[in-house]
Amino acid sequence: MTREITLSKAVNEAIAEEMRRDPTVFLIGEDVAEAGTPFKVLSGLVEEFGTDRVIDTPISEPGFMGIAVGAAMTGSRPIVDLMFGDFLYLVMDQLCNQAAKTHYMSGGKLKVPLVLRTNMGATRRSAAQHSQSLQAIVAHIPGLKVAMPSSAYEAKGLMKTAIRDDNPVVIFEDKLMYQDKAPVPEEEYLIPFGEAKIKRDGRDITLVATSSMVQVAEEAATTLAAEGISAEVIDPRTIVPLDEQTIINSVRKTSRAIVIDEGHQSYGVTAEIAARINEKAFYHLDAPVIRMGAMDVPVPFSPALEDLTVPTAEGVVENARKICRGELVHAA
Amino acid sequence: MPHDVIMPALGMAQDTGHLLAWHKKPGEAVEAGDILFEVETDKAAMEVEAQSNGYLTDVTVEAGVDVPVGQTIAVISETPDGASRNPAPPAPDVAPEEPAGIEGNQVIMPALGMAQDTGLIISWAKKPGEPVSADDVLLEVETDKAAMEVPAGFDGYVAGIFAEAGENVPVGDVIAVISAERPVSPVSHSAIRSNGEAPEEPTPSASAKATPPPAVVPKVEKPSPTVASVSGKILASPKAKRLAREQGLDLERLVKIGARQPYHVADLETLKSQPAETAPVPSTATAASRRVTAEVDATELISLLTWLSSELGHPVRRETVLAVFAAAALRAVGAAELVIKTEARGISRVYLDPDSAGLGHAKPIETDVAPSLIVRDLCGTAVSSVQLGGELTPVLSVLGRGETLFITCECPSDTLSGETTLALANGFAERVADPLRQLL
Repeated sequence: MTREITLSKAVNEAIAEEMRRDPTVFLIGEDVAEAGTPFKVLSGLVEEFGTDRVIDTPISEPGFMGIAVGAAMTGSRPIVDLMFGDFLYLVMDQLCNQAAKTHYMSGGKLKVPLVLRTNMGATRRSAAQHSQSLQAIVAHIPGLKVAMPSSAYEAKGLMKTAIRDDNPVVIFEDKLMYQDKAPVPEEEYLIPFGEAKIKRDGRDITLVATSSMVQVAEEAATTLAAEGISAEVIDPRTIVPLDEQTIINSVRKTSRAIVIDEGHQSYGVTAEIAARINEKAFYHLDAPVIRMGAMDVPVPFSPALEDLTVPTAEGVVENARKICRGELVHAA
Repeated sequence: MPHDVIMPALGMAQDTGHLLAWHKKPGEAVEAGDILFEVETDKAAMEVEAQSNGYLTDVTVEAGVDVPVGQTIAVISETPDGASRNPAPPAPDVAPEEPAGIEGNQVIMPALGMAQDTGLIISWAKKPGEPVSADDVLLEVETDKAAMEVPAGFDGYVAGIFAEAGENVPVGDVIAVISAERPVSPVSHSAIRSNGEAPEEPTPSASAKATPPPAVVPKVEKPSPTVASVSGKILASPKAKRLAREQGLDLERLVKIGARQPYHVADLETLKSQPAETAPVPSTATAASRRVTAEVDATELISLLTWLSSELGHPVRRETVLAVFAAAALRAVGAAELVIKTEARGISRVYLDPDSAGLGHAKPIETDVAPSLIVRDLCGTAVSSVQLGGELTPVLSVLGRGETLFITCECPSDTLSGETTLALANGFAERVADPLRQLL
């Protein structure tokens, strides 16, 4: 049986189910208990699990992140709620120097089964310090897994897998998608990491898109279909580990690819995936692989400007048309 | 060789440099990299290094003076007294284009950057004989960093231009002379010697004044720059290149028909729809060739020859029968008028439509017509395998070993298609293996 629920509700369900199943799972962060986070994702959890397992902290990200890393090393399975993805910079040492490296540096004796759930995404008029999409920064660090759910279905399945994973996992939810509904099974399910989902079959071009950009790619694919261009849409779901094979197989079929992610374009997720396509499907490419990330600028507060900085379906359509027609976007 | 020391352009919009101080005295030894003098521009004071080893001589500018960019302020000579400057080694007779002797102020290739050795002349803004004023743009120079306009620096007339647009001239070399009087016979020639030698060091301007005007200097033709081969690199997608390679398609042909690059997979369809290349001239005999081999039992052919010989009362040559089979096989793949040439034991014979004469009745003819097919009977020779390539005509070679015949069909790829080659080889082999096929 499936029903339509919001992404917010899906995350809430995933955490509640896992907390019921495993008493070592607990939540920690700012405004997670009474407030249930600014996006109300966690509302109702403190009533069920109490303040011992849903812990409000002072405003000190390095503090509660450090507590969580230590708790994870000593047998708990903490879920850290980082109110905005932009605050990742505050927990870099705890996350990248400690959580990511402890298993390796202890020769496998210590595990850090920790979930850092945070968010990403612009166009919420939150200005430069509350709008960033920083997945590339953590994906760069060996020892961290990175999940990017693109719908309520993915959000629930990936969260449950993350909680059960013995490694630190960072989950980025798109702030603007919390109220988006999608069919979610009532029965329990998990989504394995490193398994991409082909959201739409196509033969002319592959659109690899993450998180919020999956919607953008699907909208572009619909427009392109009307013009006779058949686009395949692939959602990697986790960027670490990355399901390279599904992407490569698709590009071998279509010979063309556009990679779309809401992080800044330079040195970003799009660059990494494009590079892998070039390396592993070079002789199947009939056009250069195009990256479409956010502009390399601080996210503007001005709504008119902010909207210009992120990839749009129109932009994807335009690039797809060009490369399908054999017009090099940048003729050599 | 003495080297001019010039006032460098240290900034993009710099006209003059204020010489703050010399760090070397006249006659002092200097090494490339030594701080030679200090310059102040509107932005900063900078130390300027010597660019060559030698002795500082001919210092013409004292500290404290503003000097136009590009002006020679000293010379680094081979001897402390700068003697090597004076009588230059006797110039060879073959260097009449030496700029020496034209009256006027010399314009040298300026140093527009600190680490610049040469400057590429993009264009001259003035022609020989034209009047100029000091601020007029005389030429445009490109360095590795930027293109810049260079002012004449002197009022007067362009009396001589010694380097052409497109030439890369060492910094400090004289590239023009500006005279005060209208020149009688303005001079223009390239600094590049026809014998390829580096340009001689320019003679000093001071002594140039005394030299009588030279005879008209013949303009040295500079070899026109080689146009880069268009076919050198073809822009095509990795997939299009791979498919072209796999399917034996030549992307050069798309270049020849003027198709716009870069090529994609879709362009291969255009390529396939093109008619085959026109008949090759003999020099293209090296074109890729096709080769098909077949192996058949010789028993039936031997019995046929024995039977034919007894039936007709005279020996029937194997190559005659092979010519008949070859003609029939070639006709079966669509050929009409057939001239078959046989080569066996050093003897060549030519048959016209031997298959229509019937087995054993084909008679050789005299003709100059090029054969449509050559049948080479190599049975009884020591040859065990054939791959000659470079044939202009399809060739069927037959080798015998014991009771087995080895048939090789070779042809240039532009005569028969792969499919036809296979059909020809197979048709011939089947007829040899089972002559009844031919009789019926």
